[in-house]
Amino acid sequence: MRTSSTSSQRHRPSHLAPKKKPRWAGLRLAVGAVVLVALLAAADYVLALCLQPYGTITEVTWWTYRQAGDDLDTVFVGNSRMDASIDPAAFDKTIGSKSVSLSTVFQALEDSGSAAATAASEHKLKRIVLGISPSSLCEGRHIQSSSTFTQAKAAGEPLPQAIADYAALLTSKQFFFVDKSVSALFPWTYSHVPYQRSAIITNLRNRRYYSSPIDGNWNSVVKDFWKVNALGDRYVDAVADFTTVSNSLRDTRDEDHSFLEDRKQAFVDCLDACDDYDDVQLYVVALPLPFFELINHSRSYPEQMQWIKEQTEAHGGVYIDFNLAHGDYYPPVEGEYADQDHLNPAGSKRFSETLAKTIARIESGEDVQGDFYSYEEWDDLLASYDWIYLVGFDVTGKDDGLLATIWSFEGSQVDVEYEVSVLDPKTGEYEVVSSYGPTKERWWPMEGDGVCTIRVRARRVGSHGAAEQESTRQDVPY
Amino acid sequence: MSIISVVFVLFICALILVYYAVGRVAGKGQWVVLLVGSLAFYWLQGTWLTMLVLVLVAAVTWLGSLAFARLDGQAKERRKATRDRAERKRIKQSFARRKRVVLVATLVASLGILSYFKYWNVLLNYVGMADSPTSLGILLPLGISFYTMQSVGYLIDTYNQKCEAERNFARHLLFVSYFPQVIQGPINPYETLGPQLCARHAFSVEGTRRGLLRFGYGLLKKVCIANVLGGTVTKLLASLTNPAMPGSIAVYGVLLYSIQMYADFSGGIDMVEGVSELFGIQMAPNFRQPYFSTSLSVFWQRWHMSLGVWVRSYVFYPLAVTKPFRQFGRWGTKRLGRTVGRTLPACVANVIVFLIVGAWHGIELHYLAWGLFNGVVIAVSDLLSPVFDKVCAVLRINRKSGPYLVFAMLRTFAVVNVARYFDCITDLSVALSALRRSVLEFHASMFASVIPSTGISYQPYYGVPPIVLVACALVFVVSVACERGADVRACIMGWNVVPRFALYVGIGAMIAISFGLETVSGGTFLYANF
Repeated sequence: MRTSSTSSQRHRPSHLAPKKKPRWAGLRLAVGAVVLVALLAAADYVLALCLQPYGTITEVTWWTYRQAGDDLDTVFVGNSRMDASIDPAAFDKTIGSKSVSLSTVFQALEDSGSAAATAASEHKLKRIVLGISPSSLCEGRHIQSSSTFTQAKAAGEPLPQAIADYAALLTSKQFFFVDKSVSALFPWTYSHVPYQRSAIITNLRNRRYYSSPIDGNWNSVVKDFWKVNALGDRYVDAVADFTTVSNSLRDTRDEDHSFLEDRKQAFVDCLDACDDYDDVQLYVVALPLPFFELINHSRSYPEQMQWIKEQTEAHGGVYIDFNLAHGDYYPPVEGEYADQDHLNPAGSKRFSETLAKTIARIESGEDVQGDFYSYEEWDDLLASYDWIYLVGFDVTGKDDGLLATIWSFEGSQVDVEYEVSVLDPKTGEYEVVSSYGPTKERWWPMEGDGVCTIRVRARRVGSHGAAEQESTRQDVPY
Repeated sequence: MSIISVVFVLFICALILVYYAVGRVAGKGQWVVLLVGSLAFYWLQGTWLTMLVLVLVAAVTWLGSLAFARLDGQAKERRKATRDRAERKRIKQSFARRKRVVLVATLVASLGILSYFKYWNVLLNYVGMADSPTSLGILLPLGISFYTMQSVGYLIDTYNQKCEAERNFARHLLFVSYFPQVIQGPINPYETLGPQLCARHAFSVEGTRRGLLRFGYGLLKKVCIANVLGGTVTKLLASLTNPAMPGSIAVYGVLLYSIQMYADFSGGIDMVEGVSELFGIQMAPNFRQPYFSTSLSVFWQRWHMSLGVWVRSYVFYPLAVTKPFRQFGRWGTKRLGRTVGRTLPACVANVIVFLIVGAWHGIELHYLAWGLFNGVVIAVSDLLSPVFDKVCAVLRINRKSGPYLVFAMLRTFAVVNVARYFDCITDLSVALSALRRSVLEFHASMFASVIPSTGISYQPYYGVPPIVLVACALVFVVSVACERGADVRACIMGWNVVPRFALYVGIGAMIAISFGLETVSGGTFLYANF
């Protein structure tokens, strides 16, 4: 006889039946994970093809180095300032060398040391020239740049060396613990073409049709008001007119420009890496800065660069600071900068020739110190600049009017006065709202609401003449 | 160690392996693995001093709870030993007094530690004895607000005999320092988290998949929305110090901040809860589609839920039943009628609670204003609730109808965003000025011409790249599904493998692309600063 329990067992609804544990559930999870990782890697590969720029500056740099013959005797390392400052052809013509620049954008000091050591081990070098500026040690390591540097370097190396390079990067303190380390799984996120259809199509075409990164390939990077194009010949003939962008060139002389401790250690480690090669002379060159950058760093510059000089000389290197050059040895020339950080080709050529001559004189045993100020003569140097370089200003609304905060860059012996005017849209003429005076904060009333154009002019106190510098801001709300 | 870093991934993988291996081989002791992992995580995040603070707070609350247990035991024995009712009452009152003294002392100690790190420099700055709110260089230990509140909650629960005191300090330390919660919560009650931490957990495929899905969803919110919007929001809000900036910029900035804040906070919570689920441990929920709330009080039951539960349990209810409040209620009933009389004490308690919540964020004026605004709005709406009921009845408005619910959600979203002015703009006068301009000087026509001057990136998109919109749409769809009671993770896990993997790869690609668009640092969370 059937019992009720028997009938309930036979007819138990499926949702009450004990659930069977799927067989090999753990194995299925593992296989699924592997398949998913493979799919993600495939998607990453496709995205890299589309978005990772073909023919980056770093790729071109390392490709150029690998084309160099056994007679390579000089290597330049440093960040993009160094890259823009050096014209290897001009340098070689002056001193009779064979050189290559391994400088790359935002190159970290660790990478400079690595590049120098690689070149010294692969070639019979005579010189390594490291270009620096205060920003080399004030700013932290850019992991993005180190990642693209390592990729480009590793691309032409034997596998064990490439693995060692990647391992060094992945285990570095600045990389391992920070969020950007995950981006290492997608290296193209560090440096990618704009997320636009036309840029992606161009990039894919470049990959398809060009056999090397240098083949007629332009990579345009637009940053603020300057344009950098890489074609192996480095930078195009941009001439920065700082007066038109002075409002974005801020007066930071009161800000903290201290060297970071880990950058100081990285600098010493870089010197150590170069020190391993006894036959190679290291030159550490402080690159020429635009005048306003020098002023911005002026409070800490002598002490900081003195430290760099001492460290360099303690490691057997030679230190040259072109910001200390006498006016008749390396005079500042208008129109030699492509932007606030980089020399243009004309400036690069002249600097490279002067650097080569200086190195040749040093190597022949000549004392070049007579052509340079010392750090103790820093005030004399600033006093030697006898002009108003730039004027800029900020504007904010205040008490039914506008408040302009003005700054300017001038020689230490030059006293400046400023005038503020507002453009009358009806007449097209500027109306003075605050006449010439030395005060750097100016307020004036503005009625109603809208936008306006403001102009600030600067001249020497007592000159009573035309303005020497001016700056304007448009679409200022009030 | 950032939660979005290679080292964290390696840390979790190693910890999971050891955790389940110990469970399988030894059958017990998994909690020790969690404790070691949690302390290692915290150590890597801070210094020996911050570690010491964590251990000190844990020790204070542990000793306090042990003292309660001891006093309770002694009281029980002494009462058992006598048959005299009056004597037993006297013993009970005496031990209750002693327990109160211990409670106050431990609360003062643990909240004192928190107050020192959070408020001391700010207070000194207010009275002119410090140059700035940060000039003394007092570093706020990571997660101190969260683990202190969690420990204090445990302390009060043992005081009220809601749970037994934990006799093992190491287990208690695990409860306080459990690493997924220590960055930004949630604040877990001991009775739900404690047993889970010490229980044995076997590896579960389904649990792992669910945990990973949740982590991935949180990562999508954090990276594709919060991190990409962060730079835009910062620049927009910074531009508001210029009084000439039109109100349309302020409204735009605050709206984007609302999105960023939700994505950052809830994304972070999803990530840490997902990580916790990998160990088989469920933490308290912290968000429940808050922007679908139909009133501000409902919003606070859906946003930062664990904080809401904590302040309701340990501040609001204890406050509302105190003698002064009961007397106030009686006075209100006598003078203002039964309805108002009953509601008024709760309203006042709400205002106080929200002031405390504001102060928990910081004692700067703008946080206090934010707390006051929330408390007053909730209090006023509670008091006027009968009036609203009458108006809706007269106008025959069906408050359960779709259009009304949409209206209520939009209304609540607007009220929440008004409060955000005081949250995201750190200068109270600028916040008030921005609010005034948003109403009286909106100037929509100036928006397009003025926005470039704020310096935001992605100018053609007004600082919001399309990928953010796609991610927001995904979050919206998931939120609607959750609001309807769907188990979204189970749904996805039940899909055919092709669309499921396509979804995973698509979201992975979005996250990777967003790494290249980030304007704020990936692994830091807005609420980790509290």
